[in-house]
Amino acid sequence: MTERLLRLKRRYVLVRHSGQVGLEPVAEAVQDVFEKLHGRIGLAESGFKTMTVGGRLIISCYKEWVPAAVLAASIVRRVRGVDTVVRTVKVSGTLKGLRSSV
Amino acid sequence: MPRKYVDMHVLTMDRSMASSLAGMGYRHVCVVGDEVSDASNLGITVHRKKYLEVESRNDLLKRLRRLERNVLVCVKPLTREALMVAARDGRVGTVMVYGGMADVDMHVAQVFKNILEITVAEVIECFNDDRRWRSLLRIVRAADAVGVPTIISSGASCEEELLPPRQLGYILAALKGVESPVLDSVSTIPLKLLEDVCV
Repeated sequence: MTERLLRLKRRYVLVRHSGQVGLEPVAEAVQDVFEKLHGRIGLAESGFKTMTVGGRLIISCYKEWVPAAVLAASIVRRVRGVDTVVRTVKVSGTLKGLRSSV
Repeated sequence: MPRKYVDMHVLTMDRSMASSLAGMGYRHVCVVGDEVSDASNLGITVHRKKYLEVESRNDLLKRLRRLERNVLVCVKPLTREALMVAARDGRVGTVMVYGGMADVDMHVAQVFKNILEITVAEVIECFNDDRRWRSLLRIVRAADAVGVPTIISSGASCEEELLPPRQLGYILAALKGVESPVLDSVSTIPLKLLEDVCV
C-alpha cells in the first residue's frame, strides 16, 4: 500500500505598506529578500507566493514558513527608491478569514 | 486577560508615535532619547532607558556607578570582557545584541543573568552584511539553546518604523528557528523586567 501524503497547511498574511509605491514592486521586494534568506530551494519548499485581494497585498506560504515570510517582509525598507515599511495586519488560515481586515 | 505589550527600544517619541503605539496595542514603551512626549492619556506608560556602549569592564562599572538607581540600563558590549560583565551585573537590564558581538559561548552562558535584547533596526542592518548576519543568528540561537531570555524591540526612530507586537514576535521566531510567534519576548519578559527595575 502506498504511503498517504499529508497536505501541507497554508497560511495567508495580510500586509500593509507605507510609501507611495504599488503593490507589485513591494511583493517583488519581499520575494527577493525571502530568496536571499532561504535560497531558491527555500522559496519552492515554502510555497511562497504573493497575491492582491481588494487592493491589499497578501503573502501566502506553508504554516512552518510564516515567521520567515514575516521576517522577509519586515526587512524590506526601500522599494524602487521609495522608503517603505511593511507591517503585518493579520495571519489567517483562509482568505475568507482575512476578508474582515481587507 | 489580554497581553500587555512593550516596545523596549524606541529612539524618540512624539505624539504621532504615541498614538501609533497605542493603536498597535502597546501599553509600555522605553525611550532612549531625550525627546519624550506624555502619552498617559493614550494608555501608554513611558519609561526612560539609558543606553551605554562600553568597551571594557572598568568603563562599564564606572558608568554604572554614575547612574541613579531604578534606571533601566541597556548595554552594548563592544568587547568580550564588557559582555561578560554586562551579562551578570545586577544593575544592567538588557544586553544589546549586534552583528559582530562576542559569541555567547559556554563561559558567557554560565554567568548570563540578564536579558538579551535585539532590535529590528539592527536585524535590517545585519541583513546587508553576511558576516554580521551569521554572527547575529549564531548569538540568538546559542542564547535560545542555553535558555537566556531574549526580547525584541523595534528600535524605531520615527512613526513609520514602529511594528505591531505580533510582527516582532514572528521576527524573533524566524531568528530562533521556531514556528510560532514568541509573544513572551514582547510582553511577559519585558514587563517583568520593568516591574523589577521600577521597584
